Amino acid sequence: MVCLIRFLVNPMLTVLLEKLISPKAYFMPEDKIRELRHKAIIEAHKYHYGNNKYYREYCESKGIGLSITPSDFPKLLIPDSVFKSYPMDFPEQDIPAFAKWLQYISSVSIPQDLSSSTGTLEEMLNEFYKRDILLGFSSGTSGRMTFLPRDKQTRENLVKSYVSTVDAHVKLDKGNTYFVLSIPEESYLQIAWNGKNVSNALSPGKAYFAMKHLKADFIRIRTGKLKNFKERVIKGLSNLLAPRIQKKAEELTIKYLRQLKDKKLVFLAPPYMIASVARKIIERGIDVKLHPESIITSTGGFKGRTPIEQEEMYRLIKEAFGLDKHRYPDLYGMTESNSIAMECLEGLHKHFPPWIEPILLDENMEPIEPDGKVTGQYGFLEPSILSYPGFILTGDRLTVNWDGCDACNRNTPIIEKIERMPTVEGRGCSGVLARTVGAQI
Amino acid sequence: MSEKILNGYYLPDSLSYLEDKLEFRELAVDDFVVKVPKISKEHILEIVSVLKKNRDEFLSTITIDEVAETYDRVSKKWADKEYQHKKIAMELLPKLTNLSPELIEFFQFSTLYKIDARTIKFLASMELNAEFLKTFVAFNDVNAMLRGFASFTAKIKLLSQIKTQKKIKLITYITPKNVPGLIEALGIFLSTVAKASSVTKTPSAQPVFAPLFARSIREVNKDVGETMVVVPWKGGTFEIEDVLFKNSDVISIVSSTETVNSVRKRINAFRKKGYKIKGCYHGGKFGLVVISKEYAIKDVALLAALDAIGYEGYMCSSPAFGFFVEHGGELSPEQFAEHMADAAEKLGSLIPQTQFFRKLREKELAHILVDSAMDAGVKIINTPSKSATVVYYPKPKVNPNGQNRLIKVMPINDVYDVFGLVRNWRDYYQTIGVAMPHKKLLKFAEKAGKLGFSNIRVVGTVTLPRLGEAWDGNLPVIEFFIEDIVHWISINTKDIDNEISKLTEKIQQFIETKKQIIF
Repeated sequence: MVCLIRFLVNPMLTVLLEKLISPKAYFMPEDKIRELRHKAIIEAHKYHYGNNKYYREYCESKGIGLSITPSDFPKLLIPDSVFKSYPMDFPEQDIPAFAKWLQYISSVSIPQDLSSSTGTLEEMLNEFYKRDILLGFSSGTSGRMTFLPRDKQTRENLVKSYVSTVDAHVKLDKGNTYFVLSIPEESYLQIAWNGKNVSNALSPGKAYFAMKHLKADFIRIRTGKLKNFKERVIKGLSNLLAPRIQKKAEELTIKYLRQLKDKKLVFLAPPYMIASVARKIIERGIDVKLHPESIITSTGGFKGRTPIEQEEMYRLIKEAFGLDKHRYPDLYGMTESNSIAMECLEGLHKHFPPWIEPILLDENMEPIEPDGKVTGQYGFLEPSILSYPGFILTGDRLTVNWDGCDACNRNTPIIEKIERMPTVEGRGCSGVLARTVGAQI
Repeated sequence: MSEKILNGYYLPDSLSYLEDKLEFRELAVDDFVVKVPKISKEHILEIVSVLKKNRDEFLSTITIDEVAETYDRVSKKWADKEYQHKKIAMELLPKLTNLSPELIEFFQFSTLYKIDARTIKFLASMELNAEFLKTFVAFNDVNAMLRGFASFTAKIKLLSQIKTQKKIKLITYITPKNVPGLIEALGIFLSTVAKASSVTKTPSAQPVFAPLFARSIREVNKDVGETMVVVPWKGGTFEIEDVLFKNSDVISIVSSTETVNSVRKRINAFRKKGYKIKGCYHGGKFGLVVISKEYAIKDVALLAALDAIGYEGYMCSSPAFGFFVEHGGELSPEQFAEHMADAAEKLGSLIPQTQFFRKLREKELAHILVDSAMDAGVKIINTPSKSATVVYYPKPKVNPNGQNRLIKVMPINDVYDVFGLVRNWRDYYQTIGVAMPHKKLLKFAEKAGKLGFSNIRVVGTVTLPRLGEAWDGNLPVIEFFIEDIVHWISINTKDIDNEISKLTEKIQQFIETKKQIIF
């Protein structure tokens, strides 16, 4: 049901976000930034509580009302799986029901007057985008895509968050820095949208993409449920085509890198692709030594491939591109988040952005005191997300050092290790079964 | 506070020399340090050899009266809240399992108290005949009924196997962590009834209870204490398990379906090589409760809430599928759900839920809330103290996620509708909790047995097993001796109408007096 009365964003939240989301915030005293962040989270909670029926009911079920204190923060976390809990396998076949679900979990108005169905998922996403709602999705490695609705303000906040993080870590010659991006130019894949829009904000018109278009339907067929026999055939073909698509993207990437090697550039790709491109360059003996102020940055992890040792990555990057490890920061982000944790060039430690409140939970789901080096299930509170509650419990297990980095003067905690949580909760027969076979029957 | 040392294993006196050969790791729990041994293949070989010798020496001639008296006394010891081993268990089990002490007392320990002389004598002298394969037969000495389903050839085989019962010397138990203590205790006890020695593998998360229980037995009867060993090892350690499997007459495993299937495969391979091992397999199962219109009343809602609370929904019999209430009764299914919420709140103050399980429920609730928005009529009732959540689905939604006091109530037009609703979960059938008149029950149970269910339990006792019941289609003790050729189903009462009245009185008494009762 569409909420008829919407709570406007409290101007105080806008002011707080202005102060928080800036490169300077990384260097502000910890207590000062914490105070600002906590105020922003409390304001964001009020906003979502007023606008989001799902969130309000979720809070009420835990005995949480409109007024909260920081001790309530861990209780606000929503499991990330909620954002893939739409009640159908193929949303484009029943758009009104999907829009109803979307409205329920959203804090902004979701158009409810779209056509009842579209031929493809991509067309449905286009329809929403035309109505100013970006439905970014994840690659859906679990077999079901996550859809996150982002309105204009949330998208602007996302770009601002990314740009602030980049500015806090790297001195870019804005407007003159080129981007070589091993991501599709046109796609609702959230990571692709982020790459394109952030690079455009940093250096408009200077991005080169290794792929033109990646349709949502293709990803769903590759990783999710199939509609019919035709899709089974397409999936079979796509398994054959995928290596060729990657090869083509790598060749295009090499071409752009050679073409721009004397310019300052940022080369962004998943780590396995960076390694593959580097190996090809070395094998062929071609000169792709990049400008010394260039940056190579990786994101997305190895996606089921055998990970490459970090030292081997550094060796490949040095040999192929002539850059040492301090020009190769890795990134950590996720579709549900509006931000990214970036490694500082000094110590190569991933810093949490100061506008994010990380929370680690122990095996009993109790919050772990933020002190020293600790490991737990990762949740975060991100007040800059206005279109849905950015209070997410993820499926990642992080080791965080709250004492921060000893190589730089950014005052935020750092991530030392990223793992996936076990997929089942081993609490006895029925509990385990419910989570392992439940989805199959 | 000074640390107290506790042995996370049990060795009889005749194997005490092994202690000098063992290496230990230490597990800190509260102000206890639990010494957990690292067991090797060589240790197991010695254990097996000594236990078989001890069985011949101490159990081959033991009378059933002596067994009954032994366990009767052990049971009475554990019923005494001042008993030292019990005090330790009550201190440590909540820490190791996250279950509240009140829940452990109500469900786990109250089941142990039922191991009395009368029941033991019944188990040891249980006689099966062809009548059991025709209809439900009520036992004389125990409040239960039993029925077997078998093909014609299986019936003949059964009768011949009963006549030619072999002797068993050693039983190995692999025990789970979801029902702490109960399975270990029952395993040890049933071995003695079968006049066999036992090796019990404790769950790594909870290595405390079984050694304490074994020590109690030694305190009461030193000879019986010589016929059991309790040790932990990492499940799937082939070099240990292969020795045990080859040397055991019976392997009883209660674990996840995956582990059970893996053990079954290995045992079958040994059997092909000529080892005469009987495997008793108890994998993951889900339960449900069916309330007929005659019993859609407030008192039954109270009993049903108790079933939802037991072991926080993680027992194989727990009604993870939910509670199915027949239309046409005094309370509508939706009203029944409301009364279950009231009941869960009341019981929650006496058998509290820990934060751990509450958080698991809240996590699941994050998804259930979406259901409520998408499906018209779904009603979510959080109890005032948030001790339970009742979800009423006007259109049944069958998914076994009713754990952590997330109580799902659904309407049915006829009690038989449930069989259609859960038909896709056939491999996981075990227990149906029931509240329906006796006449209706027998017909219903007949159908349930044919479909593959093995336990019919009266509402309020779904997570409180009674001795003499079937278990996953087999019969305790008897399953050690005969092959799985008959599917058994039991009803844990002979007179359900009277039973419901008695249970209602008991639970009211529990609420009023706050004193432990045996269900």
